[in-house]
Amino acid sequence: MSEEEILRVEDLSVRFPGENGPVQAVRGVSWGLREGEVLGIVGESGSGKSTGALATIGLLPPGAEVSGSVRFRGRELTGLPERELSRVRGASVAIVFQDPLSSLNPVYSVGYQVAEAVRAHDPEISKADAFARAVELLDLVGIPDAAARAGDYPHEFSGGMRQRVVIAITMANNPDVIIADEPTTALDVTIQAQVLAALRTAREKTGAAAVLITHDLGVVAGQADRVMVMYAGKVVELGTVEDVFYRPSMPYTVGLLGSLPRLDADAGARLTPIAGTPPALDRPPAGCAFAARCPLARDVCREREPELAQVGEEGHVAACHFSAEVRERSAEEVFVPVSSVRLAGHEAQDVPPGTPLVTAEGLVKDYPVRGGGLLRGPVAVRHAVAEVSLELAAGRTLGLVGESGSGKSTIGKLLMALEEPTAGTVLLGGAPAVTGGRRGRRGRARELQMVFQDPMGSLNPRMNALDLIAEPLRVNGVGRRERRERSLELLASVGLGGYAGRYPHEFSGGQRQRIGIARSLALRPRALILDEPVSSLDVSVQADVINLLRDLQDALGLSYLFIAHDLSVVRHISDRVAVMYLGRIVETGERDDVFDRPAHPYTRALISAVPVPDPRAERAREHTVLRGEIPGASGPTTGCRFRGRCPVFLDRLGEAERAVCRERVPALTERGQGHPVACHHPS
Amino acid sequence: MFAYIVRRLLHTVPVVIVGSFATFLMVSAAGDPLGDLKAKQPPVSPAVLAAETHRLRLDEPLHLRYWHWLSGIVRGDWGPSVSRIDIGHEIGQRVLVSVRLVAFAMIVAVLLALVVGLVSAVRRYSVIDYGFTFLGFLMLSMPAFWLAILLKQQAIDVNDAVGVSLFYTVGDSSIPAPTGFADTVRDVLGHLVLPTIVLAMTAFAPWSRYVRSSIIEVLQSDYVRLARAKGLGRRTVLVRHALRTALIPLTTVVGLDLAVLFSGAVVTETVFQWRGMGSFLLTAVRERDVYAVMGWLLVVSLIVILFNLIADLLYAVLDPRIRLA
Repeated sequence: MSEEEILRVEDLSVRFPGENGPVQAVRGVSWGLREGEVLGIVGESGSGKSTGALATIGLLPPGAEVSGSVRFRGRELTGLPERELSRVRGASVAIVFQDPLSSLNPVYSVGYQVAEAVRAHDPEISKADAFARAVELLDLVGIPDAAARAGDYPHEFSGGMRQRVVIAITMANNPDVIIADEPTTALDVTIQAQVLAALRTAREKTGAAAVLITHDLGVVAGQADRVMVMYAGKVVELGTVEDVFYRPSMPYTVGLLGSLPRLDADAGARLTPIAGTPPALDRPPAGCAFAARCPLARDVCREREPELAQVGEEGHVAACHFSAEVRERSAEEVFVPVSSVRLAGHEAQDVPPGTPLVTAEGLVKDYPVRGGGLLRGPVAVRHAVAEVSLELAAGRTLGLVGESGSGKSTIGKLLMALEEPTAGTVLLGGAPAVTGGRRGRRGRARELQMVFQDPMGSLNPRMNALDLIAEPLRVNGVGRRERRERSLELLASVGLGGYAGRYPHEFSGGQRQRIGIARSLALRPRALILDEPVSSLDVSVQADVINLLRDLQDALGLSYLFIAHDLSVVRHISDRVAVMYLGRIVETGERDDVFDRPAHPYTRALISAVPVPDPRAERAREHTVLRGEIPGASGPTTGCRFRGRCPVFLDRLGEAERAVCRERVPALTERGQGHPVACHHPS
Repeated sequence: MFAYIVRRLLHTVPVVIVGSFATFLMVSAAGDPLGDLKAKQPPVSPAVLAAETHRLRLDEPLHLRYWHWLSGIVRGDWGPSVSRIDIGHEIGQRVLVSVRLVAFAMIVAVLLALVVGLVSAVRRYSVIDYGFTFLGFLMLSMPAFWLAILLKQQAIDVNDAVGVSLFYTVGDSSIPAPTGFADTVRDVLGHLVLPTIVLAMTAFAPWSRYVRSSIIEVLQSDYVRLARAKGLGRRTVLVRHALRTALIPLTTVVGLDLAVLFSGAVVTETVFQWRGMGSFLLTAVRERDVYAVMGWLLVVSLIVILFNLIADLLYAVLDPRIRLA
């Protein structure tokens, strides 16, 4: 890494037209990218991190007003005509976008789309040569059997594979800078590890410097050389990873780090959420933009905007009037955690903690796979859930983890009676639950309720908060007055008292999820099924919702089934954990047993793939990058279904031992105290 | 693919049967086909009336009449006509004339819609966009017959002013028909000009709005942004990535609008006095000629079904995500 800067951004501002006047998405940002380095840009949604990066090569939507200066190797890029800019794009500065599912054109083959990038800057090259080069690139980023698959269309690839195709496109012209805009956000941790590896390959092959934009501090800790923290369109802190992670000097950075549940830390500790929401950027505040949410804010913060200034180490800058003071404090000392729950009029469960409330035994759910032909009859069966037994106990949380496609959401639906199980039973409080039809669902809904992933999508936009919460009561025949009283009470208990008349769009994401939680509590259920309840929220808000869930559990003795793909969150909130792979529970046990002493190779790989937001620890960890992806209906139907990706099976077993994996389905077998594992060769 | 086509065609059988039965009921209930004959002065003899009643199967109950029509169709018998025409033969002559008009109008309208939609989308909120929007809504709100009459009158005025017949304003071909292949083609095309314009104008207006909005959407998509990020030129991005994908939804709309186009053709043909399916239907309806109406309906619905099938197959060609299985 040399000190020379290849990209220099000076006083860059971006404004978008908005309903209440222009929105200042980026407000006077300056930074430089040095030859060969990785600069991580972190911040919550709306902080301007993506907008600022896209503005550097003029890829903002029409209507955006960009001012300031962007120099690439000394050449000014702002104000260049489109034709000139398009010569820079791809050739000198290449971009990987966030959503791999939508970044490729559905109507052209992936090989064509990579070849198109090759030809864009090399008109001399023949179509055949460009395609051959495309195949080479696809092979480099790890597309298996690249030559055969280059002719396939994007929809025939998984999200992770598509992101690799996009990375192949960025490599096409040996760029000097690769901007990766949230490249792994929507992906499972195992796939994230694969994509990050592909990105690393791309950097090594091209020698490019990279800008890595992400909200995942773990990814930054593992990948970046320097980190830039953005808030409300401004850079609030910039320094080496170690400086920023170990000596944060701006309260917002401190808060971000503190609000993050960590895989490697004491799970009992309370998270420190940052209260409130970022300011609206059509009317940015006069003083420090963070002042409204900052527990340390004083008058000067609200009056005068702090400049970026050096704090301690060379090259470590932060924008805070009290950075010296901040450096001395821990997150808990800056953001004093408070309970946000007020539970008037709620009574706790009448059963002691640990009593089984919901028990599922041998749940099976098969879906028919329809074939072609004249009659389109079912040609195969997809086992979405296979022989799953679990127990939800009063006052306890069972965390259910696994990659997408593992069947964890289907379990939630089976428990809620939203789907009929092919086999198996659900017991409510020890008695078999009524199954089938509306009565089954009604009965189930009084005992069990669900909180969904997307708080916006699960709230009817035409109902106000009060009506939303009252709806389950109305359906179950509760009278008008009682409905109103109980709904207001619930709203207050999730910290939204006084907002009864507001509609979903008037709330922030975290607040909407609070409404979802309040609604789920309306019928006084014994247990909640939380299906990815925080995965669409920013970390600071996520911490807030997690704390709320814990407080509610403590106060009401609720049982939770917490379905999530984020293992850090699961570790933080769960008492017991079950790991699923292709419809089966492969390992389950007390939280610390599973996380500290994982026995199934899949669990071990999952845990190792989760980036830890601690640069030294993250770089020192051993990472097993799991090969391949969760297979669909095409996966193995006999024996252990994980063996195709299993590092133990593939690398360590002899032929005789492998035969066992091929032939026999491993049963969940007890290993030690309440820690059964389904593996023939557990570690 | 083959299984898909067969399945699609099988799906249409109940639709055609139910639809034709409903039409049969309605046309039969519309009045007495022998009304004119019975009202004649001096009255025709009861024997003639009885013979006609028997010939037109009016002595049978309604459901049997329908059944005889349906089974007759399978054998190639189109049923008796009030005006004693050979329904099958007559339709055979006329259908080509109408399909010619509809097909030409469709092609012209699609091309126009693509150009206008693309330009409006790229120059969104410009004078051109507003101009096209105005034109689009004008065409959308103008009845086809009114536009046809205006155009026809203008063409006649031009012809008069020039003193030569620049535009053909009457009929689908000259009478007597010219000899020789080249002359026939020229004559037919010449007669097509005005009606095609009328029909294309009414169809293109909604389609161009559709193309405009789908291109605007595509231009905001991630893959267009990635195409720009690759360093592709503006024109390449527009044509290769934006226009190409906007074709996919347009195909569906055109397929669905085809039935509307046929009803537009009835009006247009009437104004320009074509001997097409339009005047055939109007005559049949006026005469309460049940079997002629039924024949028309059968042929036109089969054409619409066929074109929709083609649209669906085209859809699969345009969009690799669609698998016709």
